[in-house]
Amino acid sequence: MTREQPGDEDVAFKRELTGVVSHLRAFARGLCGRPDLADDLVQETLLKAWAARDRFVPGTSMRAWTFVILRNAYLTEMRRNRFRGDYDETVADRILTAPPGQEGPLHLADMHRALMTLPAERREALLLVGAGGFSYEDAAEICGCAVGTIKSRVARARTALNAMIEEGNLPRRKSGHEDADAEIMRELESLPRGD
Amino acid sequence: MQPQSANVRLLAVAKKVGRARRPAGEQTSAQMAEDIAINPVPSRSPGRGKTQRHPDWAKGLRQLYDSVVEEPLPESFADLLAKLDAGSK
Repeated sequence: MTREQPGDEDVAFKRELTGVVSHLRAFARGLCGRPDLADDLVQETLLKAWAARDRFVPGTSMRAWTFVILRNAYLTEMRRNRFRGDYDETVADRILTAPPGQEGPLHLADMHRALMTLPAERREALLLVGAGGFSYEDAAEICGCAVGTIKSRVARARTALNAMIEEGNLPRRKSGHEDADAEIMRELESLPRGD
Repeated sequence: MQPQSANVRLLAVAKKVGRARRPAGEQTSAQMAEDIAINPVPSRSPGRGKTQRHPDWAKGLRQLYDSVVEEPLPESFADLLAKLDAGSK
């Protein structure tokens, strides 16, 4: 592909792409639970989206379009087993402090921990609908499945969360040793990879 | 790169979702969070404890997401976005 200068379309595309980066980060972090790996996924997504920009139809939803790319990248990584182990609780606790003014008794770190115990498909459905604000129909489009499937996944996810949070069955925080292990794993993961 | 089928689906997704003409989604996320907050517990008693947490998880989920959305972007993203143009020589 030879392009001398970015054309108007590219400029517009990039502007829209830039506008959804923060949403991609939020979705990615909800999917894989680890800020560092999530950001890797988003970077990969941005590169893929840019490479495929000719196939984006202006006026359609950039957020939905890029979420599909992000999701595919995530699933590929899952298959490669890069997200072995768990999310990094040390980092999660540091980052997930409740914003000022939040009076609710539910700590965001608890929420995060509960979310990460859900099977990936249900977590994804809940993220799209409950956090991302997509309709069931849009979420089904993004996941490439039937609307009923999404509804079922969301229903199961919220039943599980209700059980965990209402009944106080939140997964326990890990011991210090495991935190240290997670820290080591994170260090390993953050080493430069030969891409 | 994406396999062909994925590309086709990408296009379809963006079209269909775009047709709904929903803005970035922050407004609707509130509604949807309400929507999934089933059984808002009537017994929101002043008593502290686990039962009081229940109505908050849907809001918590949204806060979790929004807290990331509102984070300042790491510089690596600005760098990458800047390179996109330059890379298409």
